[in-house]
Amino acid sequence: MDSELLKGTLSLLILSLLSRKSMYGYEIAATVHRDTNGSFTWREGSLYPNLHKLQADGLIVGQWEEKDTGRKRRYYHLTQKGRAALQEKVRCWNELSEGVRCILEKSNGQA
Amino acid sequence: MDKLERYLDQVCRGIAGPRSLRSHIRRELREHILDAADEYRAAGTSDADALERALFDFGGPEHVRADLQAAHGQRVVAVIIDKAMAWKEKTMKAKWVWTSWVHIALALLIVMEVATVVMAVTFILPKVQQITQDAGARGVGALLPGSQRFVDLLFWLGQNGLWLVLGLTFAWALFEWRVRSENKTLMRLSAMGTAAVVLMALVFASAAVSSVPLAIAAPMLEARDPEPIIADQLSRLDSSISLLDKSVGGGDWNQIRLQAADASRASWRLAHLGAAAPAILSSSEPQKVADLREQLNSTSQCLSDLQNAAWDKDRDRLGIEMQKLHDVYGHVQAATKPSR
Repeated sequence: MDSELLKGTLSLLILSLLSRKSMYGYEIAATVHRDTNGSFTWREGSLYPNLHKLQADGLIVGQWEEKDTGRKRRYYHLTQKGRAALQEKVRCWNELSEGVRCILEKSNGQA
Repeated sequence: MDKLERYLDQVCRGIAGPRSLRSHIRRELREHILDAADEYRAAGTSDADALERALFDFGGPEHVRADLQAAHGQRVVAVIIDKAMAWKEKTMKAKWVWTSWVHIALALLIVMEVATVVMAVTFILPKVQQITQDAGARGVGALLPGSQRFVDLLFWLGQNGLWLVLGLTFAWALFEWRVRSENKTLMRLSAMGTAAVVLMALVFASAAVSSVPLAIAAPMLEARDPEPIIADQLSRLDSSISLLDKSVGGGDWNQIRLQAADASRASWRLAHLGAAAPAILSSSEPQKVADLREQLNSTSQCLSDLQNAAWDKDRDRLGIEMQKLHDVYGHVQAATKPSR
């Protein structure tokens, strides 16, 4: 998959995954990999600048937590503002994907 | 693990903000990479390969760093270091320029230091010795304890400087001829640097033994009574003129010139020493002081004319000038009688 296309949707993906439950960085990357059957090829390192940016915008909150494995990890939680932003982003995405789909369908009909 | 830490160094070094932020990001990235490596290991990959693959998945350090810098800003120090490293890489090709420049700069420094020490030994220190003795102290050593030994060392260096230079030149030639080492340039630079440091210490010590005794002696010079100086100059003037008379009688042109010059110096000093003229006179009336100064200047002028006549070996002029000298000097003698 085109990594540039993915780049634009990364914050939507992160917010969406965090709406399920709180996750740490590697868990987010692993979930994306698992849920897409590995079709998303991206630099895992690019996840963190996005996480930090979302945190700076107040959409998520990160904190170090020690869970069952005994290792401390930084878990990110979705905030109220993040939940609202997610709804807005989902709406935009649906509009965009619907528009793109319509254009593609019409183009395919003519091809 | 060294590889992981090196990778994290490369990624986190340029991130702006407080140290705690960099340390927090570093920790978070380390946890991610270790988790990924654990998963590869669990799938049967070897330890080394697991870390290698986890780092590959995470992305090249320069890309990850660029992304993080875009989010957090760039650290100025890191930018400067990167630019300096790039500049160093570029300029390493011109290594000979830097090496030559260091050689030239060190050689110039050594030459300047040697010139300073030579100047101190030849001109300054003898003068300082003279001044401190005039001030009533027994040389530099009496005013700055322990310094006399150093002054003696400097004079010894001054006397044997030629041999030292020849010895060092021989040693240097031997080094250039015999030593074959890839570190030869560094060895030469080390030797030159050491010489520069030693000479710098000599320069500082020379400055100290020149200036400190002078500073101590200056008030002593000011505090001296004028009478002994005047008595000394008057006796010089008397004896020079008396010897001049004898030399004129003997027709010894060389002696005439020497004695005339000596007497001229003594009369000039008496006329120009600030406190001398009033101290010579029994009364210090301003007019009498001015007259005496005038007579001393005239004596000095007569002696100078007398010297010229001696150079020309002109007996007639010499006779006339001697007559004039005795006339003028008679007035000086009369005015200074109480001081004799």
